[in-house]
Amino acid sequence: MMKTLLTPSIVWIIVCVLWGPLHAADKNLSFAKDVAPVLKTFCLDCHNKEVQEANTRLDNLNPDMLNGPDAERWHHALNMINLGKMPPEDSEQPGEEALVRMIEWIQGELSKAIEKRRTSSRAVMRRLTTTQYTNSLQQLLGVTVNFGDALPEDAKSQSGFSNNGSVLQATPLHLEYYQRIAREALDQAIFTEKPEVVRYKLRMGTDIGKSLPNEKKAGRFGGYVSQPVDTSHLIPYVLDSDGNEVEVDPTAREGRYANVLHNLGIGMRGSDRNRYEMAANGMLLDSAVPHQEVAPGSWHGPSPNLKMLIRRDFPARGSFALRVRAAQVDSKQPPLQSTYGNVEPQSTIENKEVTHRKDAVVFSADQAKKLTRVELKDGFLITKDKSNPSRAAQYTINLDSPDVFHIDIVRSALANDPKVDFSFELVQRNTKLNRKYEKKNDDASLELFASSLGIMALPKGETTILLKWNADIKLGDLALTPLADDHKIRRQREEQVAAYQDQWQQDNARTAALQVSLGNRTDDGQDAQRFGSIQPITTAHNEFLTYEFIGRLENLPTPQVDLNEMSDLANIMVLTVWNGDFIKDRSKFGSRIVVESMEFEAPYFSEWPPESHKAVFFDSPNSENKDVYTREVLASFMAKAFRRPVEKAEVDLYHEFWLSICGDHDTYEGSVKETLVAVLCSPKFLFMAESDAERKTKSQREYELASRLSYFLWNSPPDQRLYELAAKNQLSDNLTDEIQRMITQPQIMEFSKSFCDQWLKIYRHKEMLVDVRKHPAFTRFVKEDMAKETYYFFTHALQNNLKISTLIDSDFVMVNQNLAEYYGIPNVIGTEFRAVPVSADLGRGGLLTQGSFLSGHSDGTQAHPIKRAVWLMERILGESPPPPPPNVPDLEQKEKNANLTIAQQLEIHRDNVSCRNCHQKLDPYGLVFEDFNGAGLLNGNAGSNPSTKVALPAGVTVNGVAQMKQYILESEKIKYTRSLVEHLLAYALGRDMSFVDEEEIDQIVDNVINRGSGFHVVMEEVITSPLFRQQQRSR
Amino acid sequence: MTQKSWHLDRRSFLKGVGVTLTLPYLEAMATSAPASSASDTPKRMCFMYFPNGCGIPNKDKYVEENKLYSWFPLQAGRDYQFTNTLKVLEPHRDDMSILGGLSHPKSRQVLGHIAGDSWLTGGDVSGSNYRNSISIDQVAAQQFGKKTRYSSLVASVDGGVGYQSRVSTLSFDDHGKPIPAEHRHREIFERYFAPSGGDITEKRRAEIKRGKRIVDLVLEDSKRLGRQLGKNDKAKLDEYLESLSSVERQIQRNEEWLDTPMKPFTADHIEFEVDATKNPEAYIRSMIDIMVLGFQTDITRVMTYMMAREDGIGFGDRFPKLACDINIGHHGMSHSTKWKEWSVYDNWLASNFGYMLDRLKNVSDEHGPLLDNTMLLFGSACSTTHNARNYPLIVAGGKNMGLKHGSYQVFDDSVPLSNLYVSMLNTVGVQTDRFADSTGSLKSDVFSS
Repeated sequence: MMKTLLTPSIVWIIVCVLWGPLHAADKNLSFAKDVAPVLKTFCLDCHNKEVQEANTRLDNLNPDMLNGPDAERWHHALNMINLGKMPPEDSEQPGEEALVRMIEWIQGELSKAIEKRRTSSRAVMRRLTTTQYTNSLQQLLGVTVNFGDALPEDAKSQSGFSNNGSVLQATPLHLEYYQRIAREALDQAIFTEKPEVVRYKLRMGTDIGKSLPNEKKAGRFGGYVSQPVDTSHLIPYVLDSDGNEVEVDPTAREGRYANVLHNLGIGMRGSDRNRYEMAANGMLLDSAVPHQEVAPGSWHGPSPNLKMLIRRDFPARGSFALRVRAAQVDSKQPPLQSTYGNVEPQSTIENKEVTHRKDAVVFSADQAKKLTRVELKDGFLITKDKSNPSRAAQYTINLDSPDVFHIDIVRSALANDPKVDFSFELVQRNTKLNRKYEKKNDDASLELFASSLGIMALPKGETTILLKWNADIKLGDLALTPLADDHKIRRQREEQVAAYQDQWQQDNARTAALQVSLGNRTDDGQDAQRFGSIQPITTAHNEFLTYEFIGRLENLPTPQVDLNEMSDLANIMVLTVWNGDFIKDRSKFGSRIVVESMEFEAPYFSEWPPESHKAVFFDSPNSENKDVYTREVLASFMAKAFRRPVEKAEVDLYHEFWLSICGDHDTYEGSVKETLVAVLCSPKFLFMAESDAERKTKSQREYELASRLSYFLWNSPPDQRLYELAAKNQLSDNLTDEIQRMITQPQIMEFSKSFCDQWLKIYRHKEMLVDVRKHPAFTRFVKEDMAKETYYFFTHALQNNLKISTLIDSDFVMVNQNLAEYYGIPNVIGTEFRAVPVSADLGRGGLLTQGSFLSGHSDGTQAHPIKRAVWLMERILGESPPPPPPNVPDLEQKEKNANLTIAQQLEIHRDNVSCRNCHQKLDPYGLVFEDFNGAGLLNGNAGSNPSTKVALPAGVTVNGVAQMKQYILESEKIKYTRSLVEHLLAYALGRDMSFVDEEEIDQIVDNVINRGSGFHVVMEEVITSPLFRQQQRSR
Repeated sequence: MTQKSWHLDRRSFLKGVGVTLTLPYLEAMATSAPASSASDTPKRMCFMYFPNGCGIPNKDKYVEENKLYSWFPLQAGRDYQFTNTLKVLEPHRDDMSILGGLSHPKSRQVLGHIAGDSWLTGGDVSGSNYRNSISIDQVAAQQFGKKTRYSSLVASVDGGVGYQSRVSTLSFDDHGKPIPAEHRHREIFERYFAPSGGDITEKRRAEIKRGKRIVDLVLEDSKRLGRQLGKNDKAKLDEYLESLSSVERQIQRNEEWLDTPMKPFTADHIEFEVDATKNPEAYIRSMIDIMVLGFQTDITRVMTYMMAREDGIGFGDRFPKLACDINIGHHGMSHSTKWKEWSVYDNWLASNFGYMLDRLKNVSDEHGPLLDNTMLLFGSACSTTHNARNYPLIVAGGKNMGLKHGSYQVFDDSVPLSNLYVSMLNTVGVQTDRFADSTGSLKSDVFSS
């Protein structure tokens, strides 16, 4: 009996040495003789009917791998033996000869099984996924509605892919939807007459609508926490489809334009009142502060935001345009502190003699103007009217340059007034200086006082100041004494002014941008979604441009209009615009825009009839002969829908259908439309079918390859060029060039999105509800941008043909300003994503440090090491982590202690013997990420958390993500490459990989590594492999 | 509530959808079951809603008021005692169970009124992430729809859909879109109880014909495709063909329906022309009479009725004044500490539910009293003053489906309301172990069967 540590390398040596001779010497291996006894002695103790370690049962394995169901399980068992993992090192081991005989038997039987299955298990007809269906319909009809939204969600396969042929069902429910969607889609593509267009515009500016008669004014939209804009600042317009103003009778209560002007308005709900302001030429909006979504009542949109509100009269579907006429203007100059209190008076009084400092500006009582309830008597202002305690006087000062003054007054003591306290107030524009006096502090024996009101900065030029007080006293001089040059407050103020100027210049240098959303008003906010991309304002300040945003009403939370509903707050469409040059610090104002007008047009057609209509009903010499013409229309449409040339018999079938129904329809277009509905319900459109391999013609092969390729790389049907190549039978000969071309096209983003979502489980990030109370910086925009970071990063690596090691570790990150600020990367300005070089001490680079993974694998509040470990093992290393035992209690319940982190709870958990075995293999891969919290941010300095130093099962110690990345690239390069290749293949072929494919996968991985692991090489090797080409292996 | 004629023309798609049509294909969604036979005892569901929660005076602050005016009885269990509020339901004690403590977790954070949007759905209706989902009645309607003329009747006092956060319907389709509610009693009657079915029948006949032709064509095309496919792909295609066939079978069933005559009935007792702004009680009871008639004639087995709208919106807010001579609107009352008035009004709301129970008990079809084959849920989506927890809920009827009544049961926060819906669906024979955010079925004697 060999008692040794069977590490993987040792096993391989034994196998390699003994394989040859044994194989030759003894071909009479059998299950009964060579396998069953070994299994019984060394395996079944832990893997039987009652005990199933690692969820594995071996006593019921069917030895017939060719016909039985257990080949996959045998394959797994063989791997465990080959890797030396089983039997466990601390238990009894079979002798080497017995072991090798068993291995050889399993190997032999498996080979036979693989051969058999290879011929039978290849192509699986796949229904288009919802995304593919949507993209196909969009491309086919030229209508950009998210058609697939209505379909039930696609199931995910074992390896996490939703394009898996065997799990993609076509249920009766799908059929119901396909027909309904086809009908609605064709309604949006084909028109018998031009639909009625609504077009409204609201212009805004201080008092521009003041002189309008009431009935021509816009509406005022009130309600819970609303911030309506006064209708005197608005002018509403109804326009025709050419943009000319339509004269509407504003008093009409019936008809097309009844009440229409009152149903248009502007609201500022949810906006910080300090960040917007109506100006003569429009609404000023400072940089928006992104909103957090904390229930209740926080979902009004970024602050400030300007909402165009339209009640009732808007279509429910179709394309629409929102036009915002705006310019960037000089940034806001917020008020600067200009008063300071608690200082001693500068003027003095001795023996009733008043002495002011020489440089003081002194106003004697007789210089006071606009006296309120006081009169001048003997050089003092004294009470004239006691009906009301408030008294006032006004002074005017003219300065050559701004200056800072002590403000002193000369006054009598409080004598007869019953008031205990009294106060002075000095008002200069919006600045106020207040000083309170207590009666008890007045020395009544003194006749006159010099009292200080405080310090106030005054601007250059003429300034009016108002002095107000509320007690029965005599008031003498008002003295303004400039602060000494070295006065602390003067210096402090100079610094403030400089910093203020500096901030203002920075703000002014920012690039403002417009972002818009459409939604509907709810009680506590709005249900809204953005559309169109963000548009930076790149023109000079004050230069107005009209920015157009195009969207589809069906894709957005358009209100469902209920005309029974009479509430003022109902049926309101909310079109929101904000300055998308986000700023997170509320005390800063950032860039500033002015919005002169907003205009809404729906349905919007850039041309008439639209391209979508002309693509179906194209010009033809036969267009008058409906029978011939219909045949042409159908043949053309069917070829595009079925993604290949169509045969005459196929067209005949649909043509006959058209003939049978055309009498039921009022219009010719209607009858053709009905026929096209049927085309769109055909499995030839809905499925990617592969024709019988044995009878497949060269042409079929080419068209099928074109579809397979374009659904793989674009998640969409082939483009014109692919069809052209297929038609000439040249696609397979030009495959490498085509791959290159397709990667450079923008549609490659469709691949990145779809593949990353599924491979890297980005959908978990999207579904995760991060606790924004715990993570206040985690806004919806940060969340969105995190997913985009991954898509852009992956696309960047792919398009630039970087090595696939880049995905694990990169010296750059793909961020925009918003995400850069979140991650703490300075000097990234603007909303577009770009590669930003980062140094190692930032702790970011590669997929493993991206927010989409880190927050997606948390519990919403804190990091979740188990989820992260499983992700790293499964997704990146291609391993199957041990499955959780059945009915395993939730961590939180078992080690319930609110004060512990999940990592600490796991530590306790590992103390439990029955848990330790699995968790020792699993936990390290997750604990290594403990530097990152549940919202994807670093907790303090990387490496400061002792948990991140982990011992991997292979015996290597790794500290933190940086070393983990290094470890993967140095020691697990093959595993990682293989994992990427396997996931790509599973995605490309629409099926999970199995042991049958092993040899081909190995070949691809070898080729990739030998050819330098560039990203293009990987794609090429996958696409040109026999697996993808669906060719029989040449062997 | 005047309508402008052009509005109706342009928006005719909104009109008359209150009674959800059994569309040609929709019912095929549910697993196919044989068409109904005479021996098939119907299982029915009915949901009735009132807004703004209910009066529950604070136990410590208002000791005496709590005993008299609390909506919930004073102690849980079988021996519970009614307070003044629900006393009117005393005669139905053996046919109902009061449930306390339940709510939808996703709506607990929102302002109480908004929770009304999710009463029957358990959807996420908070703010900019508003994602409502299918309501329990529509899940049942999908399954029962093919057994009856109409899959469901959706009614409310105000009609239509209202707007997000203040809906005026209880029912939502499988995309979470509100289904417009019907509110004109005579129109409902004329349209849906007409022996011939009127326009609707003709429209449906045309739709069915259209759908049938397309399915035939696609079937034919698919069969031709099958001849060219490899073996594995043929198996996949068969799945599609099977789906097509089941759609085809359903279309045939729908066609047969159109030619099946209505059961004989009388509607002489129903007062259609009641003005809700003058006599809300008669108005609500007129709708209840129509609903009972609908169950009796088996035109549908699923109904929802929203007795007033959340907040001070809709004319339900005036019911306290009109029906109980209380000089404050329902919404204003719900913000006040006028416990007595609130209790009187809650009692009035409950009395309408009592009327429904009464009618269902006293009207029979060939399977016995309607009540025994009808499960009802009466309640609201917040408790006292907009707290979206501890919904006031009463489950009633359904004896023949195994419901065991007579107690007041209290659940803690860990039990989502959706668990009740799982149990209710299972009770009427919809086999599911999930609804919205449920964590299982409701552990309760009510559903012990």
